[in-house]
Amino acid sequence: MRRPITNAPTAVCALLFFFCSLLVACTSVQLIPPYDSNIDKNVTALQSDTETFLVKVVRLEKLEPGTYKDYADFYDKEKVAVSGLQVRVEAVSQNTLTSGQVNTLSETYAALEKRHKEKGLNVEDAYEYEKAFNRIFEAILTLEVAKKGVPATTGSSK
Amino acid sequence: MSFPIDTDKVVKDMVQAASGALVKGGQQATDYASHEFEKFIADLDHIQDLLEKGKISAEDAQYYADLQKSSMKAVLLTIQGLGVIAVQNAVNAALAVLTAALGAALKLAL
Repeated sequence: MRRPITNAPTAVCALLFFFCSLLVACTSVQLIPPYDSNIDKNVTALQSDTETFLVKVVRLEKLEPGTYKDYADFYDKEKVAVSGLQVRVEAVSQNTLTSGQVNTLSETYAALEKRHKEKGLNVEDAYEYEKAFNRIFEAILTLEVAKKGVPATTGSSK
Repeated sequence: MSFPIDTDKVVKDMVQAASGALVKGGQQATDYASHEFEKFIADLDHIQDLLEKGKISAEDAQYYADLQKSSMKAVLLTIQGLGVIAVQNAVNAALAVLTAALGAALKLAL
């Protein structure tokens, strides 16, 4: 004998609510990716290399344009490191802001290299580049550290 | 049949949760922005000072000012990012309140 369905509307609505809450529970909005310790580490390493180079410029007081080739290793190393950083940043979706920052970093290295090649570098150049680079490094790290509050696993929204 | 969910209270709680996250994130972005803008102005003042003392040429002064201005792009992106994180936290805080309210209503309904 079949049991009568006595409270069908309640059951339907309860089911509906269950699915609603399941939906809300599974949906958190993600507008920016979570913290990436590799970006933090790589940017810190870049900062250290760059600072070492600029401190050397200050100590030597002047690097003539002809010395550019002696420092080609530094520029090559930084170029490779920034390129690697850019690949890592762009491999993660919604990372356009950090990607833009790494572009700015790349442009600044290119400007430093051009300056060295064409005019050489003096103490003032070193101080001004130090300020510019540190501003960029700090900006990247500030944003990255702020991402620590962003949940690693999320549901939706691009 | 009815579900014991007080929509007015839920909306109020959602707004409160969202605004709390927004205020916190907004404060962080404002603090960072004012600190960086002050540093930027100080850097430009220094360049102006060097120019006035004849330690650098006008061409170099322009070059250094452009260099600092270019580096500010990274700062502006961080400010934008802090804002995005604040909005994200606000929306998720509101969603968490909604989830909790729906969960509680469901328990009572069943």
